[in-house]
Amino acid sequence: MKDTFLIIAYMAIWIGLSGYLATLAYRQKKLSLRIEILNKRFKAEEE
Amino acid sequence: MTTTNRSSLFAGATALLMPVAIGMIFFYAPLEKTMGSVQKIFYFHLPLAFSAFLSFFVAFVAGIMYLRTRRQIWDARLAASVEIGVVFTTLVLITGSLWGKPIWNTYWTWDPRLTTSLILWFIYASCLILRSAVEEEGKRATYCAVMAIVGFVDVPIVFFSARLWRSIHPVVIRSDSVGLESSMLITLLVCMVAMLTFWIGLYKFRVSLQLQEAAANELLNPKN
Repeated sequence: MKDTFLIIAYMAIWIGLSGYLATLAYRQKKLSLRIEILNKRFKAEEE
Repeated sequence: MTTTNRSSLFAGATALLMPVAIGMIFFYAPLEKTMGSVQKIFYFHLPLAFSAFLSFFVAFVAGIMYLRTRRQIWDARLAASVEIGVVFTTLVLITGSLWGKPIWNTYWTWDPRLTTSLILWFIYASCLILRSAVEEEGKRATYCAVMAIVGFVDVPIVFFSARLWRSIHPVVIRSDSVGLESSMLITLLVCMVAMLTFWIGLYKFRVSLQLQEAAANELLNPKN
Protein backbone atom coordinates (compact mmCIF):
# COMPACT_ATOMS: atom_id res chain seq x y z
CA MET A 1 0.00 0.00 0.00
CA LYS A 2 2.71 2.48 1.07
CA ASP A 3 4.86 1.43 -1.91
CA THR A 4 2.00 2.37 -4.25
CA PHE A 5 1.89 5.93 -2.86
CA LEU A 6 5.67 6.17 -3.14
CA ILE A 7 5.58 5.09 -6.80
CA ILE A 8 2.69 7.46 -7.63
CA ALA A 9 4.51 10.37 -5.91
CA TYR A 10 7.72 9.78 -7.85
CA MET A 11 5.77 9.37 -11.09
CA ALA A 12 4.00 12.68 -10.37
CA ILE A 13 7.34 14.41 -9.80
CA TRP A 14 8.93 13.10 -13.00
CA ILE A 15 5.83 13.55 -15.16
CA GLY A 16 5.44 17.09 -13.77
CA LEU A 17 9.05 18.13 -14.29
CA SER A 18 9.48 16.46 -17.69
CA GLY A 19 6.11 17.82 -18.82
CA TYR A 20 7.21 21.32 -17.90
CA LEU A 21 10.53 20.82 -19.71
CA ALA A 22 8.67 19.53 -22.78
CA THR A 23 6.44 22.63 -22.72
CA LEU A 24 9.51 24.89 -22.62
CA ALA A 25 11.15 22.93 -25.45
CA TYR A 26 7.95 23.34 -27.52
CA ARG A 27 7.95 27.09 -26.85
CA GLN A 28 11.60 27.27 -27.90
CA LYS A 29 10.78 25.41 -31.14
CA LYS A 30 7.87 27.75 -31.84
CA LEU A 31 10.13 30.72 -31.22
CA SER A 32 12.77 29.38 -33.64
CA LEU A 33 10.08 29.11 -36.31
CA ARG A 34 8.96 32.66 -35.59
CA ILE A 35 12.55 33.93 -35.91
CA GLU A 36 12.91 32.05 -39.21
CA ILE A 37 9.77 33.79 -40.55
CA LEU A 38 11.18 37.13 -39.42
CA ASN A 39 14.48 36.43 -41.18
CA LYS A 40 12.65 35.59 -44.42
CA ARG A 41 10.55 38.74 -44.09
CA PHE A 42 13.61 40.94 -43.59
CA LYS A 43 15.42 39.32 -46.51
CA ALA A 44 12.40 39.86 -48.76
CA GLU A 45 12.18 43.51 -47.65
CA GLU A 46 15.90 44.01 -48.40
CA GLU A 47 15.56 42.53 -51.87
CA MET B 1 30.08 31.64 -21.69
CA THR B 2 26.62 32.14 -23.24
CA THR B 3 23.36 31.55 -21.37
CA THR B 4 22.57 28.50 -23.53
CA ASN B 5 26.00 27.04 -22.74
CA ARG B 6 25.48 27.67 -19.04
CA SER B 7 22.03 26.04 -19.22
CA SER B 8 23.60 23.02 -20.94
CA LEU B 9 26.28 22.86 -18.24
CA PHE B 10 23.63 22.74 -15.51
CA ALA B 11 21.56 20.26 -17.55
CA GLY B 12 24.63 18.00 -17.77
CA ALA B 13 25.29 18.35 -14.03
CA THR B 14 21.63 17.51 -13.33
CA ALA B 15 21.82 14.45 -15.60
CA LEU B 16 24.75 13.24 -13.49
CA LEU B 17 23.40 14.18 -10.06
CA MET B 18 19.77 13.02 -10.39
CA PRO B 19 20.55 9.28 -10.91
CA VAL B 20 22.99 9.46 -7.98
CA ALA B 21 20.29 11.08 -5.80
CA ILE B 22 17.67 8.49 -6.80
CA GLY B 23 20.16 5.65 -6.24
CA MET B 24 20.92 6.98 -2.76
CA ILE B 25 17.21 7.29 -1.89
CA PHE B 26 16.47 3.67 -2.74
CA PHE B 27 19.76 1.89 -1.97
CA TYR B 28 21.59 3.97 0.64
CA ALA B 29 19.05 5.75 2.85
CA PRO B 30 17.57 3.42 5.49
CA LEU B 31 13.87 2.64 5.77
CA GLU B 32 12.16 4.84 8.35
CA LYS B 33 10.80 2.73 11.24
CA THR B 34 7.24 4.08 11.61
CA MET B 35 6.42 5.40 8.13
CA GLY B 36 8.23 2.79 6.07
CA SER B 37 8.89 3.22 2.35
CA VAL B 38 6.50 6.16 1.88
CA GLN B 39 8.89 8.38 3.90
CA LYS B 40 11.21 8.30 0.86
CA ILE B 41 8.90 10.88 -0.77
CA PHE B 42 10.54 13.32 1.67
CA TYR B 43 13.87 13.30 -0.25
CA PHE B 44 12.25 15.13 -3.16
CA HIS B 45 9.37 16.81 -1.30
CA LEU B 46 11.71 19.01 0.77
CA PRO B 47 14.12 19.99 -2.08
CA LEU B 48 11.09 20.86 -4.24
CA ALA B 49 9.70 23.07 -1.45
CA PHE B 50 13.09 24.70 -0.90
CA SER B 51 13.48 25.37 -4.65
CA ALA B 52 9.95 26.84 -4.75
CA PHE B 53 10.87 29.21 -1.90
CA LEU B 54 14.04 30.15 -3.76
CA SER B 55 11.96 30.89 -6.87
CA PHE B 56 9.66 33.20 -4.94
CA PHE B 57 12.64 34.92 -3.29
CA VAL B 58 14.15 35.55 -6.75
CA ALA B 59 10.73 36.85 -7.90
CA PHE B 60 10.61 39.15 -4.86
CA VAL B 61 14.10 40.57 -5.60
CA ALA B 62 13.32 40.84 -9.33
CA GLY B 63 10.06 42.65 -8.51
CA ILE B 64 11.87 45.24 -6.40
CA MET B 65 14.58 45.67 -9.03
CA TYR B 66 12.02 46.05 -11.82
CA LEU B 67 10.15 48.77 -9.95
CA ARG B 68 13.44 50.58 -9.30
CA THR B 69 15.04 50.26 -12.74
CA ARG B 70 12.14 49.44 -15.14
CA ARG B 71 14.55 47.19 -17.06
CA GLN B 72 13.04 44.32 -19.04
CA ILE B 73 15.61 41.80 -17.79
CA TRP B 74 14.12 41.99 -14.27
CA ASP B 75 10.63 41.34 -15.61
CA ALA B 76 11.98 38.30 -17.49
CA ARG B 77 13.63 37.04 -14.29
CA LEU B 78 10.41 37.60 -12.37
CA ALA B 79 8.28 35.79 -14.95
CA ALA B 80 10.70 32.84 -15.08
CA SER B 81 10.96 32.42 -11.32
CA VAL B 82 7.22 32.75 -10.68
CA GLU B 83 6.43 30.12 -13.32
CA ILE B 84 9.05 27.69 -11.99
CA GLY B 85 7.90 28.39 -8.42
CA VAL B 86 4.28 27.55 -9.28
CA VAL B 87 5.33 24.27 -10.98
CA PHE B 88 7.44 23.28 -7.97
CA THR B 89 4.76 24.27 -5.43
CA THR B 90 2.20 22.19 -7.36
CA LEU B 91 4.52 19.19 -7.07
CA VAL B 92 5.07 19.90 -3.35
CA LEU B 93 1.29 19.89 -2.77
CA ILE B 94 0.79 16.69 -4.81
CA THR B 95 3.66 14.77 -3.17
CA GLY B 96 2.59 16.04 0.27
CA SER B 97 -0.95 14.75 -0.29
CA LEU B 98 0.35 11.38 -1.47
CA TRP B 99 2.55 11.18 1.61
CA GLY B 100 -0.30 12.29 3.89
CA LYS B 101 -2.81 9.65 2.79
CA PRO B 102 -1.05 6.55 4.23
CA ILE B 103 0.31 8.46 7.28
CA TRP B 104 -2.54 10.80 8.30
CA ASN B 105 -5.24 8.76 6.57
CA THR B 106 -6.29 11.76 4.50
CA TYR B 107 -5.05 13.46 1.34
CA TRP B 108 -5.78 16.90 2.72
CA THR B 109 -6.33 18.55 6.09
CA TRP B 110 -6.62 22.26 6.91
CA ASP B 111 -3.37 22.21 8.83
CA PRO B 112 -1.49 25.60 9.05
CA ARG B 113 1.45 24.39 6.90
CA LEU B 114 -0.81 22.91 4.22
CA THR B 115 -3.22 25.84 4.18
CA THR B 116 -0.49 28.50 3.94
CA SER B 117 1.21 26.47 1.17
CA LEU B 118 -2.04 26.35 -0.78
CA ILE B 119 -2.45 30.13 -0.33
CA LEU B 120 1.12 30.56 -1.64
CA TRP B 121 0.21 28.51 -4.71
CA PHE B 122 -2.93 30.64 -5.30
CA ILE B 123 -0.99 33.92 -4.96
CA TYR B 124 1.63 33.03 -7.56
CA ALA B 125 -0.77 31.14 -9.85
CA SER B 126 -2.88 34.30 -9.96
CA CYS B 127 0.29 36.24 -10.81
CA LEU B 128 0.68 33.97 -13.87
CA ILE B 129 -2.98 34.51 -14.81
CA LEU B 130 -2.44 38.25 -14.48
CA ARG B 131 0.58 38.05 -16.82
CA SER B 132 -1.51 36.47 -19.54
CA ALA B 133 -4.48 38.80 -18.94
CA VAL B 134 -2.78 42.22 -19.17
CA GLU B 135 -1.64 43.07 -22.69
CA GLU B 136 0.29 46.28 -22.11
CA GLU B 137 3.90 45.33 -21.33
CA GLY B 138 4.72 48.05 -18.78
CA LYS B 139 1.48 47.64 -16.82
CA ARG B 140 1.80 43.84 -16.84
CA ALA B 141 5.34 43.97 -15.47
CA THR B 142 4.41 46.52 -12.78
CA TYR B 143 1.35 44.58 -11.57
CA CYS B 144 3.33 41.33 -11.45
CA ALA B 145 6.24 42.98 -9.62
CA VAL B 146 3.86 44.34 -6.96
CA MET B 147 2.15 40.96 -6.66
CA ALA B 148 5.47 39.09 -6.34
CA ILE B 149 6.65 41.49 -3.61
CA VAL B 150 3.40 41.36 -1.63
CA GLY B 151 3.02 37.60 -2.20
CA PHE B 152 6.43 36.93 -0.73
CA VAL B 153 5.01 37.78 2.72
CA ASP B 154 3.46 34.29 2.69
CA VAL B 155 6.83 32.49 2.28
CA PRO B 156 8.09 33.03 5.87
CA ILE B 157 4.53 32.33 7.10
CA VAL B 158 4.65 28.92 5.34
CA PHE B 159 8.12 28.23 6.76
CA PHE B 160 7.25 29.13 10.36
CA SER B 161 3.63 27.90 10.33
CA ALA B 162 4.50 24.42 11.64
CA ARG B 163 6.62 26.00 14.39
CA LEU B 164 4.26 28.80 15.45
CA TRP B 165 0.91 27.01 15.38
CA ARG B 166 -0.21 23.55 16.36
CA SER B 167 0.51 21.47 13.28
CA ILE B 168 0.64 17.80 12.37
CA HIS B 169 3.25 18.56 9.69
CA PRO B 170 6.69 17.41 10.89
CA VAL B 171 9.48 19.96 11.46
CA VAL B 172 12.77 18.42 10.30
CA ILE B 173 15.14 21.37 10.45
CA ARG B 174 15.07 23.01 13.88
CA SER B 175 17.21 25.87 15.15
CA ASP B 176 19.34 23.54 17.31
CA SER B 177 19.32 20.26 15.36
CA VAL B 178 18.26 18.31 12.29
CA GLY B 179 15.90 15.46 13.12
CA LEU B 180 17.54 12.99 10.73
CA GLU B 181 19.95 10.09 10.91
CA SER B 182 23.34 10.86 9.23
CA SER B 183 22.75 8.61 6.18
CA MET B 184 19.31 10.19 5.69
CA LEU B 185 20.83 13.66 6.02
CA ILE B 186 23.56 12.89 3.43
CA THR B 187 20.90 11.58 1.00
CA LEU B 188 18.80 14.69 1.59
CA LEU B 189 21.80 16.96 0.92
CA VAL B 190 22.61 15.14 -2.35
CA CYS B 191 18.96 15.46 -3.42
CA MET B 192 19.02 19.13 -2.46
CA VAL B 193 22.15 19.79 -4.58
CA ALA B 194 20.66 17.83 -7.53
CA MET B 195 17.40 19.80 -7.33
CA LEU B 196 19.21 23.14 -7.00
CA THR B 197 21.36 22.35 -10.05
CA PHE B 198 18.21 21.46 -11.97
CA TRP B 199 16.55 24.67 -10.76
CA ILE B 200 19.47 26.88 -11.89
CA GLY B 201 19.56 25.26 -15.36
CA LEU B 202 15.79 25.56 -15.70
CA TYR B 203 15.80 29.18 -14.53
CA LYS B 204 18.57 30.22 -16.94
CA PHE B 205 16.81 28.50 -19.85
CA ARG B 206 13.45 30.04 -18.92
CA VAL B 207 14.90 33.58 -18.60
CA SER B 208 16.63 33.34 -21.99
CA LEU B 209 13.40 32.03 -23.56
CA GLN B 210 11.44 34.92 -22.02
CA LEU B 211 13.91 37.48 -23.41
CA GLN B 212 13.96 35.88 -26.87
CA GLU B 213 10.15 35.81 -26.98
CA ALA B 214 10.00 39.47 -25.98
CA ALA B 215 12.58 40.38 -28.67
CA ALA B 216 10.69 38.41 -31.35
CA ASN B 217 7.39 40.05 -30.33
CA GLU B 218 9.05 43.45 -30.53
CA LEU B 219 10.22 42.73 -34.09
CA LEU B 220 6.87 41.32 -35.19
CA ASN B 221 4.83 44.13 -33.65
CA PRO B 222 7.17 47.14 -33.50
CA LYS B 223 6.04 50.05 -31.31
CA ASN B 224 5.89 53.41 -32.99
